[in-house]
Amino acid sequence: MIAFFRRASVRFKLIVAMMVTALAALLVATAAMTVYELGSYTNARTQDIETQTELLGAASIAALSFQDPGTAEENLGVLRHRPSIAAAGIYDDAGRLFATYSRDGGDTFPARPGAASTTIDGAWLLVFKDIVHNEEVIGSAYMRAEFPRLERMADYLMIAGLAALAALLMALLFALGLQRGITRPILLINRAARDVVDHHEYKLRAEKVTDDEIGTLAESFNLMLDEIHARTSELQELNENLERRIRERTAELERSNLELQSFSYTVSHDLRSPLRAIAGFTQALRTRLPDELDEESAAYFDRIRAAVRRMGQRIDGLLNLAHLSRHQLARQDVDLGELASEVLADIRQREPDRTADVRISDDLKVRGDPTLLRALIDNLLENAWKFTAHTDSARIEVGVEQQEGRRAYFVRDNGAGFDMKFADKLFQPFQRVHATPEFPGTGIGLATVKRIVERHGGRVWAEAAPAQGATFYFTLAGGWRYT
Amino acid sequence: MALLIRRLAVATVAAWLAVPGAVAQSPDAEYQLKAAFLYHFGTFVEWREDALPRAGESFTIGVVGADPLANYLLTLTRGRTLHGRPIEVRPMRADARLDDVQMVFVGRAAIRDFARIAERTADRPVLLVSDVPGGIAVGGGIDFVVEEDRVRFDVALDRLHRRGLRASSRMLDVARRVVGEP
Repeated sequence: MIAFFRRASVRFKLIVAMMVTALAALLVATAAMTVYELGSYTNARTQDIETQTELLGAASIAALSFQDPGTAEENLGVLRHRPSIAAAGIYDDAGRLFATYSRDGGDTFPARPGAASTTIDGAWLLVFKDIVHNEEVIGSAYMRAEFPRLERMADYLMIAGLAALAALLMALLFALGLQRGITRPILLINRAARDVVDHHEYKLRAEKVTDDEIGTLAESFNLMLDEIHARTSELQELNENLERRIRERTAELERSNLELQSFSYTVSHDLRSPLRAIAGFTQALRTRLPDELDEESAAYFDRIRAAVRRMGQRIDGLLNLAHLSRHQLARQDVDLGELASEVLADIRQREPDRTADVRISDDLKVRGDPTLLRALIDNLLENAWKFTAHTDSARIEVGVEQQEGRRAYFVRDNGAGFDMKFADKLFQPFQRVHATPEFPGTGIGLATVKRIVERHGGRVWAEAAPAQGATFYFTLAGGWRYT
Repeated sequence: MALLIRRLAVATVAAWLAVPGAVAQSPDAEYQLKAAFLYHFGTFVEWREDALPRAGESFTIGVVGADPLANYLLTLTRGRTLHGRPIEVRPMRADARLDDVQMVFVGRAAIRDFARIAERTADRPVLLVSDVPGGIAVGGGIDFVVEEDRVRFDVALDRLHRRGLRASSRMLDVARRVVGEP
């Protein structure tokens, strides 16, 4: 019932509310009037019969005084004009029945008169009245009259019920008319709201019909629509602008990227040929000179050769870096620990004389591009190996730890380390912290590392202190999935 | 209390009579009934205020030639009043003074004095009642009549009127005959 009422329309609820109110008022009014009517009927009827009895008694005084029952009965006969009176009687001062009247004949009368009183006996009203003459009770008058209270109430209730029904019908007509004044504005707003929701048509407006709260609601609703309309257009414009700008920027970026690639490729490629020329002609020049050169000249030749080799390595590094940018990222399960073992095996083979205590965690499974991740580990391990070259009992550790809720992989060594003031420059190309002769390198390695980590959506950073060793941390996107 | 006693007295008198208004064969029963009627005449007839005794004095009913009736009347009226005055029943001879009586009943034994009594009280506010029919013809106000074993009465309205008396219409309703109507 409550659920039904909740689902019902506002129109229905309003009508029901008005009808219930009308019904309640009618019920109370009918009940009050019925009670009042019954009370006043009882009073009127009682008084009427009491008066009648009194009059009858008074009319019988002379008959009683002069022992003339005939006249008394003649007097009682007048009651034929009052058919609602069933029986009447006069008792003399000795309590004997003196004269009687019976509407239908054959009534039985109380053997003795009762005390002056009025009694309601079911549908009958029984009245006894003393007959007083010359300050003396000379007899009693008795009357039994119909007292159709229930019929009367039934009649009255029927009339009241019919009146209530008519009133309810009228109330229903009024309710039907009146509710329209309230519901129509609401329904108009409701329809406007539905249309807006269904068709996303923010230019629609709710019609304002009244100047009351509902009118205010319609106004507010329209203002809201204005606002939404304005915001939506604004957003659309902004979006279009943004998209256009992104397209422009992307095109620009693609162009410059392409330019950069071709530039670095050209540079590397074009740098190689003069370098090859330098190497070739230096070699040719050496063959032309006597085998035994003075020590200084020989040293110059060695330095030229070393410089050419370094130059070649740097060009390779640059090409690699350019290649990294173009490389299509593959996503696979990769065990960094396995990679580290393989890389370390290569390194040890190259320098079998060096001993280092290397520990590799077995909890280093990640998801990423195997080729790039191999280059990443290669670079970091090469660095660690390189910077522990002059350390007694070198130690290298590859592992993982939690940092700020993410898995941070690290390569740690107890080698030369560096001053943290260089930490910013560390990952930029060709920025070298250590002097070349002691720790040879191209200055490309950490830039490569940074590029690889960034392409994996991660971050790389280092913690170190001079002669205390260094730790290189990196995170990878999705790294937390393995915690 | 007084009312109760009065009721009992009337009830006792009435209880002697088997049939209301009927006269038993004995003259006692007839006089008893007539005594009650006499008292009731007093209640239904109006005297002018100046014709009534002064406050504190008795309303006097003279009874001539009917000592048994006087006795019944005495019993009956004990403790009762007429027109707010105590009642005095005065048995009297036909030639007694009639200055201060309001009602006079003339019994059968003194009926030949009736005309003289009527003449002596002519035009004075005295209700003159005759034991037998014929009183009205010679100046009486009310005559008792026994008819079909019932005590009834005739009223001479013009006579009462001339004496300054007024009879209630209710009493006239139960009278056998009302004569001299205006």
